[in-house]
Amino acid sequence: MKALSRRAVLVSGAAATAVLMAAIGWEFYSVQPESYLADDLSKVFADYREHALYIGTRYLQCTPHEANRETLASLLKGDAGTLPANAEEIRRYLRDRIRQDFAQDRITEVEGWLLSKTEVRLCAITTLSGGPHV
Amino acid sequence: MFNDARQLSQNQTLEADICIIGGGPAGITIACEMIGTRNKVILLESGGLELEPETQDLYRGQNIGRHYYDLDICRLRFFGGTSNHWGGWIRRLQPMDFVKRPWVPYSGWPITHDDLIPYWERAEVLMGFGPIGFDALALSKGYDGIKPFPFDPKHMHAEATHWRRPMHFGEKFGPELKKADNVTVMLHANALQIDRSGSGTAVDRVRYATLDGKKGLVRARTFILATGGIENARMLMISNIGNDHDLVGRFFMDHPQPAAGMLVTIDDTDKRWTPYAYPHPDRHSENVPAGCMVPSPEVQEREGMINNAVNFVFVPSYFSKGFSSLRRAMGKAESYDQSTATFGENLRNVISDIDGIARDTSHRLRSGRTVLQMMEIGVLAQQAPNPNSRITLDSESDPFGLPRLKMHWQLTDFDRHGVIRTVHHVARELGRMGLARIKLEFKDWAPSFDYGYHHMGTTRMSNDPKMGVVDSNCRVHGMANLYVAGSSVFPTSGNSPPTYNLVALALRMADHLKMNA
Repeated sequence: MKALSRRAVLVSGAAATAVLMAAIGWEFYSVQPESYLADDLSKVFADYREHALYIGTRYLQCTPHEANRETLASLLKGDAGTLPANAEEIRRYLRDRIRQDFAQDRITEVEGWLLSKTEVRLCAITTLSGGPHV
Repeated sequence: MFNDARQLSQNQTLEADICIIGGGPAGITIACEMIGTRNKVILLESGGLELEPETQDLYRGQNIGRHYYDLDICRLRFFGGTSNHWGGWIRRLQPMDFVKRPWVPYSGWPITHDDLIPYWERAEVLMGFGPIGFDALALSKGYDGIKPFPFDPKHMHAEATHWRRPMHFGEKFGPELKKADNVTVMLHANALQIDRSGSGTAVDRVRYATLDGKKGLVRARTFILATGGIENARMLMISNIGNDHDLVGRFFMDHPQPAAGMLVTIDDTDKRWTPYAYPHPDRHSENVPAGCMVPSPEVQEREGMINNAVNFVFVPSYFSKGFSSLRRAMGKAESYDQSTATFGENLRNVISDIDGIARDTSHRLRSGRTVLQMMEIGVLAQQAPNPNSRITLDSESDPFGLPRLKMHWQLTDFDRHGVIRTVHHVARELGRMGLARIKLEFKDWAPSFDYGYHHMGTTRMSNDPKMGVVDSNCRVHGMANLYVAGSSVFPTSGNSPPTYNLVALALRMADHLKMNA
């Protein structure tokens, strides 16, 4: 199936969305294509975008092979396959995942800082989702 | 009583049951323990009651290894010895320090942690600070019961280091010794050489001299060498005693204390940080313990590293330009430059946002409130015993014609690895609990950094004469009546300051001598 952009879904209005959802099936939302995930994840730092850009830029300089929104979204999703439904739950999911990263030694070094893979990838996806790099 | 060797007759022979060479913390402790016993004790002290330049100069030597303090600066040669510049930090060696660890070369003491517990307790009384604890509970008690961080004991635990106004052993115990009928402190008596008896398996006498030309002998049944972690080895080398296996002077250790990086807290209002932010601006430092974090024995084994501790230093105005300028002026600019501060500030905002807290952190910082936002990380490191880290005799002589010392201090890649992995593990554990992020700045041993003035290992303890100079009672192997007191007998250094620990060992020796001397 050809992936539909989220913008296309949103502009079609609620009724159209319902029809569309029925047509393509619920699997669409349970799978969540990476481009949609990237949109959601890049909003986590909406209030702290400038700070996330600073870190994300430096991470991507060290890890150019991850400089792709879909790749990062897939890595951030991990085995979960989906993200929680609302912002509060997404935040909690990410917080737990960050702590698991430390527990399981999924640590990366950026300018000497020992950070969780999840938090730097989150910054990186924010960086790749627009705005000038810092 | 006190006497002065300069007032003695030329070539006078003194008789005693026990002759203690050296009036530092170890020698004074043993002398005090002998007060009121049936033993007649003579304590030979090179200096007087105050620092005298000519006597202090006897400590001069050469550093030919990595940078080390001048040998006549890092030690003091007058009554009270090096306790006269003791920093006052107190913490016990940990059980792990006594264990033979296959991944730490030359590790293992011939005594256990439990063996020393009664002597530590006595040392606390002797040193006048009463019973204190060193675990997380003791740390919590020191701060009105603040809850400790919930470390997973499989990963890490907290330790309390206490600070007390540094005690100068000479000032503290001098009056007691002055009153003692059976103990004579002989000032300005420089031990020159320890002579064996005819059989070669015991000491017969010690030769002494004063800087103004008096000479004499001390004969005794038992001799205790207590001249400090470096000088003990020099005296044995000069006397050609205890060195059948070329161990004397080797395994010299200090406690490297590199600035290893920095820490940014996620919640600067979390009061549980208070015991670790040292010196805390709102607390008086005396009688309040400082917290440090120590990776668990399991982690040490898995990582193949030695038992290091991490402590934190509160930085009140980390981001201020004034502070940065000051640090730059102090020659540490590379660790505190603007890019580091900027990254830390950005990181702090991001990690705080993830946890949904502390959104107004920057406002609080600017309001002038005390916030535990950023701290420097120091590693209280130990080095693995290394036979090539050593002191030897020099060709240059002192005014008595005795060879001065050459110090060849070495640190290894194993030691470097230990520092890095320790910081890494603390970062891991603090991240797991959602408490902080850490920047690791330590990459390798810098040409110069802080270390403890802690001289250890040069007459190490082992029950195997091929592995140690003294046995588990600190008696020199092959010598019936010669003992060594002080931190030179430590086979490994632990990450604890040595003074309190060597006093405990001295008390243990005193008990042994009372039973056997």
